[in-house]
Amino acid sequence: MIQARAVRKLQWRGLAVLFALVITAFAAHAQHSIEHLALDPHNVDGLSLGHPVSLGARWLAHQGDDPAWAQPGFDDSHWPVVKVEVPLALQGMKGVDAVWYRLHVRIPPTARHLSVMLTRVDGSVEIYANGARIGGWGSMAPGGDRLAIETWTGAIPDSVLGSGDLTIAIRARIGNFTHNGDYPIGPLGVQSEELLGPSHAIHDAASLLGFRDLTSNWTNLALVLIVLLITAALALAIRSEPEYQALLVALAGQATYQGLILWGLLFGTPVTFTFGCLYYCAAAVWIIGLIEFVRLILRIRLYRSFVFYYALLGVVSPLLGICEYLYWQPHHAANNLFSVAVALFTQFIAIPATAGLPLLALWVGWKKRNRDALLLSVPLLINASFAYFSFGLYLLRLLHVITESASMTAVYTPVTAFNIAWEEVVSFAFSISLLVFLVIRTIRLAREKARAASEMQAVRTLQALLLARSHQPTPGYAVETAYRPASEVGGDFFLVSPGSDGSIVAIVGDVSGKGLLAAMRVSLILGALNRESSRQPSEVLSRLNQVLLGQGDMGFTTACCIRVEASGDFSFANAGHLNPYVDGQEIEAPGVLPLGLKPDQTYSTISGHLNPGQRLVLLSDGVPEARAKRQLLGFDKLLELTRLGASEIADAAQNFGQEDDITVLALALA
Amino acid sequence: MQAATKVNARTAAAASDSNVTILAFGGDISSASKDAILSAYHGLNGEARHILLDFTSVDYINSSGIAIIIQMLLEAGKAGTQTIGIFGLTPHFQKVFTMVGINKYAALHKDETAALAAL
Repeated sequence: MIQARAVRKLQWRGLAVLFALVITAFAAHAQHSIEHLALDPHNVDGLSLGHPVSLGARWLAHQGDDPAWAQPGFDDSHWPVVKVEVPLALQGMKGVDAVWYRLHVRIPPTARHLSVMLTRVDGSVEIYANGARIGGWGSMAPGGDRLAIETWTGAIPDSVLGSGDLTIAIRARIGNFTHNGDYPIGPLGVQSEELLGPSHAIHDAASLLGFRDLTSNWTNLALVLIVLLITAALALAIRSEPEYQALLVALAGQATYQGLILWGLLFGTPVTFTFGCLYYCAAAVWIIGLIEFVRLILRIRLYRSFVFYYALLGVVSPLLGICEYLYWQPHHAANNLFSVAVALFTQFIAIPATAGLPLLALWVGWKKRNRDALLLSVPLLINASFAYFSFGLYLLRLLHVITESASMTAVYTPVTAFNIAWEEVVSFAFSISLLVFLVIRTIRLAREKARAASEMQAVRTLQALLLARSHQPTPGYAVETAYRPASEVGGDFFLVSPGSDGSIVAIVGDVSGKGLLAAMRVSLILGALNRESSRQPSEVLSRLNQVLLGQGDMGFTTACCIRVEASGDFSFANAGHLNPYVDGQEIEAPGVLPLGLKPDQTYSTISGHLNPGQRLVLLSDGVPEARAKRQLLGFDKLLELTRLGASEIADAAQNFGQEDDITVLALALA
Repeated sequence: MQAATKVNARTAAAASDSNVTILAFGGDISSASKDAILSAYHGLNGEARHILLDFTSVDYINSSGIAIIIQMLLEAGKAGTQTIGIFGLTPHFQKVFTMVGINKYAALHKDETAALAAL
């Protein structure tokens, strides 16, 4: 009860944390967006350089490449002004590869120790200040490199300062990182910020930005790795629950693609074939693993539709990587293929699955009263919330309630406080809620296991008591039994009952199935046999058949019942069980259906004689069906084995490879 | 470790020119095989008059697996319109099937040729 209250408390705390996160994200989102200041690039005011100033989003730009364009004295008055947030292709520049941006800043003549910071810059770039190269990356060969740089800072040498004028020039090669100039929209884009200021302030700003960028991603990756480690521990500890293995695979995929995102933030995103394939394959592993985890938790059969979907993802994901690679090849015929493939993949393959999972979990939870399903629907809803959010924005855009750029900003623009994007908030909340789900479910399963173990113990005790009564003193006979259940409780049974007339009745049987249910059936059968008044084998089996038929769907039970007289004469009846063996010779009887299947079944009686010194053996199928390396011990070996004592026979079967319960009863005249 | 049960349905012509549906099982047959086996049988919708159960690719059958086969044969027996034969059993499982009386509900044959010839 205390644990249940603690779990409920934990759930409420989890919800409170999630609520606080969402509110924080909303508040932060409301505060921040990147401002594209429309400053005059001919004359940007940088006179108050106590702190970093924005260079604005208007630059003088010219297609082509000429080293003279780096010089401050170059006359760029005829260069057009471009807006960084608008594709160059829409500003009169087609098929852009080499392009220069220039901008003039008025600064105090005494200003020293200045630096420039650029964020989110694409392609190969060199930056100049008053003609001096202050930094850059990538190859300036035609086409340039396919690199996306998050943050760059460069110090301006004091030697080029002092005149009060500062010309900043950016030389870029973006041919390999664009096609037809529509993306990226230039070396600088809608997400770029350009700052000038004292070196220490620029350094602080860059450090803060880097910290903000990395914090949420590191946090998410760390959280995913924690959940992954916990899941790995659960998968190893509870191997009978394949859902943890599926979740482990899913989280490995998630950790991989989050790691790739982080790699991009730290070192720039290489747009290469390998990176693309790895990214999309990791995403596919994440989706497939998650669906499989949900399917197993919801106890849904592995329908062909699941297999088909997994195969589709498995084929499409590497193809997306190939398409992306082709996309960045300049003037490639398949340029638009990537856009179409990504749209198809996200809209028709990935998003429907992500968005549909919580609905499926809720439906199964409600329909089948499955608590796990209801509980799991919480993290799944959080995971799908970004898809619902995007879909809502799409609808609002369709209805012209919001503009396209507003919807783009709402979905993709990072929020300020910790520079967290919506997707990151969702990922963070999902990891936390998944962790809560795993904790609650593990506690519940542990309780159920403890209860089942307690019930199993009770049945084991009962079975032990009943079997102890099965072997009463047998004057005039040497009876040896060996009983080796394959699991904690057995599905085999035996009974030896001496009669007042000097005869002995022995029965060995086997109920189909294993575990608690089989053990309960054994208890029922032994109870019925202990109450049985008849000592005629065929009658004993007939009555046991009626008892088992009256118990509904109880599977089937095989049994062989034998009566041996003091004279050595014996008679037996068999219901689908192994025949008796006398000194290694099988005493054959016609095959008959096992007990509990057919109401009017009769059991014929076979007679024989047991001489002094001969051994009669009854045994269960656990002996001939002992298995090693997929080879059965087999019936042929019984001819030799049944010449041995009961324990030796059982030992031989166990040593060969026990698969099922083993019961051997050996009987001889004393 | 048990191998998953596979069931494939195909048709063949018997010696009497009548159509025969063959349900070919593979892997291990145990309690976990219930859905696969009974779904395949029920999927025939009682339309197949002659059915052969092919155990050639079966590695192991435990008592619960035998219970499933018996359940299927008893269902067919109640319908009374189907003839079922069995082939491909190892000598071990031929003996087990005989022991539990399955041979009274379905004829046991050595292989497919013998089974088709008998129909």
